[in-house]
Parts: sequence; structure tokens; C-alpha cells
Amino acid sequence: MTEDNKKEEKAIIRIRDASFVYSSKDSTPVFSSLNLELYQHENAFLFGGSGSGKTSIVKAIMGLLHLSKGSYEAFNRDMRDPSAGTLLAVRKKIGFLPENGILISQTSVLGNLAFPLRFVAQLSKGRSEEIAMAVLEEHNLLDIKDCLPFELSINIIKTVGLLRALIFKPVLLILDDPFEGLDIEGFRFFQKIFAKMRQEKEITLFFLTRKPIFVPGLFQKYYELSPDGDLMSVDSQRIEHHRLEFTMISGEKIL
Amino acid sequence: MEDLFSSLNFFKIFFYLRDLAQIILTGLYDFFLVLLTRRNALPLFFNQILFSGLDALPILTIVSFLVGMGTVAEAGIELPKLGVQNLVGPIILHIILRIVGPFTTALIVTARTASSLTVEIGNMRISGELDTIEMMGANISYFLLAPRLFGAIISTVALSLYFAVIAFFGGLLIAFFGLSMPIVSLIRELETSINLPDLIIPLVESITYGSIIAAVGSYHGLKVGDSPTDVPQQTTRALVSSIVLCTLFSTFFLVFSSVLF
Repeated sequence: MTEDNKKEEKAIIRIRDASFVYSSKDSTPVFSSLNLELYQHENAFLFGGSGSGKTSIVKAIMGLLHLSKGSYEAFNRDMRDPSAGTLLAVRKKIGFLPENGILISQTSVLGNLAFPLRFVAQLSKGRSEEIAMAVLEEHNLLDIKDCLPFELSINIIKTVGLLRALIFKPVLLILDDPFEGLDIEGFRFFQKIFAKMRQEKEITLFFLTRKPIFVPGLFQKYYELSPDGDLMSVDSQRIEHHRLEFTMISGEKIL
Repeated sequence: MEDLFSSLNFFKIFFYLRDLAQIILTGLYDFFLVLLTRRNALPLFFNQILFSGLDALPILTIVSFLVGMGTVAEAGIELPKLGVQNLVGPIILHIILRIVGPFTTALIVTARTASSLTVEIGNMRISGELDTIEMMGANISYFLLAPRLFGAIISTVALSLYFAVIAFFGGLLIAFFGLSMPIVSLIRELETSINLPDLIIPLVESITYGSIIAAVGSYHGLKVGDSPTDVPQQTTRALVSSIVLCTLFSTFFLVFSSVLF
């Protein structure tokens, strides 16, 4: 078996020349020709400005957008008009942290953590909460277990969102601008989780951000999304260049 | 004139009714599925009954008491003038049980539940919670639609019965203290004139109104787009649609029950 074939087998997300629309009735394409490949154990970093379509890429991967042209396979399943069963199987393998953390406003922190276990894995209420409590205890968050999302800071919302995304031990973890709004404490928590992930090498990471802040050595593949929605594969130096650009802009402002 | 015809787009109305029917059928299907296989979602259903039903009791008690008093006072004063005092019992029974009870209950449930459903689901749409729930792989219907549909149906049925009981109580009070009517004979009249359709028709009416209220509230909540200004607009539409549809079905039931029973 050649090296390329081995790699093809490990592809978990494969989008080729794809065009997506919001609904089957709406013909306005969100992307005209999107190419994206994510491989198992190959963490990818995507840098793109505000409004360039990062969240739309996530929605396309998660099956919220309709494929109108090209091909999309997730975990070797064809995602053109996927059945409910296919969507569920794919979504169960993906953990996702939305840009603002987005917890369910009606339920407490404990309820939010238990939510995927209860309503996706169909575990009993007691068992789901038991697992959620263990996770909260592990991260010293038991004090806030009964808090509702509106009582929490963005740091905690994103922390709970990340723990919720990881509660299934997903194959692929998608993080949409995870550092946005975090203070140094939140940043440390995320770095700790990333360090653990790098050590365990079980979860593949797809990191989308509008600011070129990244963890050195964590990513193997880099993408850049242009303002008009073109996704290009780039090298780490280009992202490093953007990072320096950002620092210089900040520096100028200070001066 | 053309504008009037274009706003009365009958295909739109047809698709609207089709979507409502789809929400009701999906909700009922998911409810039975939850009941049979996924009982861990059952607490959500009971919570919804508490919200739609129990919390509405104070306002419904006042309204039903007053309506009962008004109906009996009107019937007790006007009917003897026409020489049909022996019909006071059956007319009170007919008006309260079949017409006013279920419809007034539906209006109260509409005011509370349809609006809150639209606002709740609409805000969840705007904050991205619905997309997040869907992306996690959870079925929105289990979590949101089926419990609300079930809660609205059970609550409307229970509240209609409660309305009838309190209205009769209010009616008996005004009959005894205000009109000096012989209570025993009035109760006997009610007892002899009540028949099976008087119980079945309000039940069917309440189930229909409950389904309409939940489906309309959920539909307009899901119709909210990305803008927060959509929420009040859709809430207004939900209230208007719910009242119009309940009135439409109320007329249908009145005609249907008059012809058949």
C-alpha cells in the first residue's frame, strides 16, 4: 500500500470542489468551490478574517448546509443528502465548540454537560449527571454546577463548552475561535487541554480563528481563508508572518 | 385589488397549514417514541405541563368564575322572560361545556404558551442554541417540540375541564345568591341534560386547540431568522394565527356538533 493510499484511508473529512447552499430552496452558494481535507491525527489550523466564512465551513462539515456541487465525505460516509442516521453517526464523532461557547440557556452547567449524554447517547438522567459531575470535579468546577449560563463569564462558558465537546471523546474536535474573549485564566485552561491532547494523540483538532494565535507544535496543517471565501493551504511561516503583523499593529498602537 | 389577492396567497396558507400539520405529527410521533424507548426525556414533558397548565390556574380560575356567573345570570334572567325556564340548565351546559369553556381556555393558553414558545425558540435560534443542539446530534423535536406539543395538549384538555367546573361553581353561586333560583332543580336539570357528546366534543376541541397553539408557537419560533427584531414580529404573527385558527376550528366544531348531535 502506497503512502498516499494510507493517507486517503485516514481522511476523516474530505470536501472537494464543493458548493454549499443554506437550504435546498435557496440557490445562493455559500462557497463556490471549497476544498478541505482533514486527516486523523493531523491537527489543522485555519486562519480567516471576520465574515470570511469560518463558521459556514463548520456548518458545512456538521451537515447544516446542503451540498449543491462537488463531493463531501465525512468518516467515509457520503454527505450528499445524508440520512438522519448518517448525520447522527457523523455528528457523534465530532466535538464542537461554537464561537461564543453557546450553552443551552434553560439548563444549568450540569445540565449542559449532561445534555449530549442524555439526548444524543440516550443515557439515563442519573447516569448522564454522574458522568458530568465527575468531569466538573476533575476540573474544579463543582461550585458552578447549578449556575445558569447567563450567570457565567465568557471564560467559564467557553470552558464548559469545551468540556461538553470533549465529553464524548470525539474523533475530531472543531474549535471555532476558541480564544476569542478569553482572559489569561481561560487561555491557560485551554492550553492545558491542548497539552493533554498533544500527549494523548487521540483527538484530531480543527482550529478556526480570526487571530493568528496558535500553540506551537500542535498543528501539522495550515489553511488560510481569504475575505472572498477562497480556502488555501499555506505553510506555518505564513501564519507566523500574520502573527508578527498582529504584534506590530498592537505595538504601533501602544507607541 | 391585486395587492389584496397577492396577500391572500392561498398556496401560502396551504403550505402554512401543511407545516403546522407536520409539526403536530412529528411531535406526536416523537412523543410515542420517547414513551416507548427514550423515557429519559419524560421529565421535560412533565415540566411543560406544569408551565402550560399549573401556572395558568390563577388567571383561569378568575376568568372561568366570572364567565360562569355571567352566563348563568344572563340565562337565569332572560330565558324565563321567554317562557323557557326549563331550558336554563341545558343552555348553560351547552354554552359553558361546548362553546365558551374550550375556546376561552384556548385563548388563555394562546396568550401564555404560544407567545412564550415563539419567544423562547426564537431567542434560541438567534443565540445559535438551536444550531448547536443540532450539531451535537440531538433531535430538536425530542428536546423542544414534542414536550411542548404534549404539554400544550394535556394542559388545554385539563384546563378546559377545570374551566367548566369553576364556571358551574360560579354559576351556582350567582343562581343561589343573586337570582334565588332553586339550586337543586338546576343541578337536576344539568344532570339529566348532560350526554356523551357534551363530554367528547370539548375533549376533541381542547386537543385540537392545544395542538394548534403549540404548533403555531413552535413554527413561528423556528421561523425567526438572524435578527432579534424577528422575535416580536413572529410573536405577533403566532398570536394572531393561533387565535384565527382556534376560531376557525371552533366554528367548525359548532357547526359539526349542531348537525351531528
